[in-house]
Amino acid sequence: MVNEAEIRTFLEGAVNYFDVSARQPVAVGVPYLVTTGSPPVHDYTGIIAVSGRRNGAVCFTAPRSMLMVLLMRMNEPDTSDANMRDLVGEVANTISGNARRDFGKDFSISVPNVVEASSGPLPLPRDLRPVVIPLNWRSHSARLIVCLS
Amino acid sequence: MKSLLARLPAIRGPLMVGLALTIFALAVLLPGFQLAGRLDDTTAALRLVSEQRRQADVIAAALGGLRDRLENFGYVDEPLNEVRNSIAELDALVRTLRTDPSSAGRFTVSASRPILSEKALTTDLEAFESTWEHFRQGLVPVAAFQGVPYADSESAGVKLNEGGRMLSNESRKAIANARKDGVRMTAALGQLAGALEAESARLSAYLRFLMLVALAGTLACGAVLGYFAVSRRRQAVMLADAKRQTEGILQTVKEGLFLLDPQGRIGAAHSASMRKLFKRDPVAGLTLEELLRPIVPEKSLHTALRFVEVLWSERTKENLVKSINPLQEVEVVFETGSGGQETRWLEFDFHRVREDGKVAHLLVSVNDVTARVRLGRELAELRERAQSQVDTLLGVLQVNPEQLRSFLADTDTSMRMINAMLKDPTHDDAGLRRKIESIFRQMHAIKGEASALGLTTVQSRAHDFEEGLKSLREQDVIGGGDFLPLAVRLDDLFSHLESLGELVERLAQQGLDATTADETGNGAVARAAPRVTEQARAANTLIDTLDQLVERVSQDRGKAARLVTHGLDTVPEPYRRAVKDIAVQALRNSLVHGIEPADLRQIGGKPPTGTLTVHFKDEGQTGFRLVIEDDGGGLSLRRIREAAVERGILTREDAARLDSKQLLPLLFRAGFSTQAEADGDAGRGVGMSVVAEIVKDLNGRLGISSGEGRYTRLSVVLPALGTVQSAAVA
Repeated sequence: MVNEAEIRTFLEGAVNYFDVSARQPVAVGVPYLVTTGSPPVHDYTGIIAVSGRRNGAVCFTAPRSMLMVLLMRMNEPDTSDANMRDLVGEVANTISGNARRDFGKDFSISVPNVVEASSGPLPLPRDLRPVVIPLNWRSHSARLIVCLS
Repeated sequence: MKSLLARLPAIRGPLMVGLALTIFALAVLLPGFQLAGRLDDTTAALRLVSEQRRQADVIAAALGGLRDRLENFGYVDEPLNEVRNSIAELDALVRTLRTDPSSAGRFTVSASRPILSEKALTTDLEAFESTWEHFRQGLVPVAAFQGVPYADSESAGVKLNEGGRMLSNESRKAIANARKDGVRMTAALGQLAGALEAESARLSAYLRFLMLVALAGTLACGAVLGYFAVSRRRQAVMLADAKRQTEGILQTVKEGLFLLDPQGRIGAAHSASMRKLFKRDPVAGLTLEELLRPIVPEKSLHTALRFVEVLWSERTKENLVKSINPLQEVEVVFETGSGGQETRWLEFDFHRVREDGKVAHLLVSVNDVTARVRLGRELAELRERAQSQVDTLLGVLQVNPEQLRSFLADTDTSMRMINAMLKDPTHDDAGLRRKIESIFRQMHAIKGEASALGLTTVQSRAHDFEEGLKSLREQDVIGGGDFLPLAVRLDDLFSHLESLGELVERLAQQGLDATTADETGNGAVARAAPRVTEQARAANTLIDTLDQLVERVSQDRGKAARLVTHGLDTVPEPYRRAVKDIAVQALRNSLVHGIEPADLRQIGGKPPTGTLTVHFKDEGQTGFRLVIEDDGGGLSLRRIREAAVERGILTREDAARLDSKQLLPLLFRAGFSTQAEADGDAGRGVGMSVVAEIVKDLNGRLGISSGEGRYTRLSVVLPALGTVQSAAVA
């Protein structure tokens, strides 16, 4: 079963990224469960595989429009797909770094893997109900998906 | 010295022997040294005396020669010189014997003491001196002669002159004396030589004795030293054996063992398992802080160091300190080579090692208790899970399977609705608060039905969920992230209901459900035979649910109540869920607030068992009427007023002014309750608001009436089918 404190650690990682890198806080939406099927994803998704005390994955998914604005805000003129992928990977990396710092003991957290929406459903354990946390930033919305056993 | 010896017990024996040997050597060798000096002096004196024993004869011969030469007018200087030399030598002998015979000064120890100071020797020396002095007086005029004793003239030829004549006379006297004094002097010298020989023999004997004593002492010391050497050897062997055994223990023992010195450093002798436990080498010389810092969090490290600091304090009692040892289960984390981390748990134990009554070291033992900790945690989880499963099983076994399936299906729908409410995008505070109220009503309905069925595991989870909602509602500002605990609890409830569903199916496969239901005396199963219609079976299920609710809540509240139902078999399928939810909430309210305890009822002239009535009636075009009534104490307008004032809904003046028609609708307001503290059955002010919400969704009407001390009646009118929005009952 998912643990609130653990989810908060991942969430803090994402929130901190927006606070520090984008210099504009993100508004956390009301979390909900995905009871059937795969969680909905945006254009780019950074996936962190988790094993050890918990097994599963934590994903950060964001639309292209949001990533573009985010890059511009970070004074990054290159808004190519590759740069957007890198940005999503960087957010995921911040999230995993935060998790390693807080409870790295029994958790083995992988290097982020970035996939596009066209790649199909996320490779998540089927018997779990992922927790989706909307992250609203300016007029855009990203999601943090936590799917851990 | 005493303290030094006390600190050096191993060398105390040899030191004492060395000290004794030194004292002995001084006691023996110093007298021996003096004796040797005296013996040397005595020997020298004897040699001198022996050399001078013939001086009397020499003098006599010189005097004879002098007489002969004078008679023959020969050269007299030679015999005169011999006399003078003899006088000088004998004078020198006297002087020497009176002072130090070893003129070379070899024996400084006896330099200030004349060798012939011994009484016996002194007598002989004085006898010799006396004899010599007498002898010497006769020789002095001879020896004093100077010049030529002859006179030569042509007339007389060579003759003795005046001096010669005097010399001749003196020499004749001296020769006469020499015959007597020479013999006496030679005898005196012989006597003196004998005394010196005797003295020399005595000193030699004494010296030999001393040498023998020294030899005996040396042998004794040698024996003692030999004994110590053997003892040392034996101790060395024992020490080597003990060291080998200690090393064997330290190499073999699984525990980490080491000593901490007052500077907090780990000693050189420690168990080999330290390297394995702490995954580093060497550990000797490290401080405890240096050992722990890489593997424990800062807080744990700080606690550990503080604790060790306390252990060093003499004022604290060891047993007391050990009882608060914070290092009995320390979580340590090691980096693995592959970038991962390994967590282990170590148990530290400390013992004071005292020397001279003071804490000199701390003996630290370290055990790897990872397996024990993990096993303990697994056992705790298993125990919790097993208890939960037992509770669930007991709950399930008491419920009619049909009721349970119905409950699971309805609850699943409700929870999906709750999830949909969570998912529904809402950004403002008011929207979030509306979301809370909607979710509250859904969850309360789930809790109500779970309570009715006696599914305590579901009820408690729903209760916890409500607690989360309540604390959220009380926050001044609400953010989306505040809903995270609810999502987590919802997931838990989903999981629990899934396991409940699986359990029901397994029980059905085992054929336990019907049997159990029969054994519990629940007649509903008998009524739910395959031949009865679907509607009748649904009605029976509903009646069973309500029966169980009344039975359980009345028992919990210490009240007696019975349920009477009418027309529930006529409830159309679209209204079944709504009727069930309304009845559950209303009956719980009646049992908690309406029905009085049996003794109070009897005082009021009522039967001890209260009656709850649920009446459903199809009224044709008008629709359906559901009436839920109890014969309890009725609604207390006073308590409603008080609750409204306490909850800040009305001012005291407004509350006093309003009549019953204006006050009673407050009962359907969310969050309004006349019960001060919430429990599993009532108190949140949700139940009646759920009823109102359901009726509103179905476009129905709701009314409540009460006779104080007699009854409370809830009337619900649901529209005829066809006018109901299908979405509202979905």
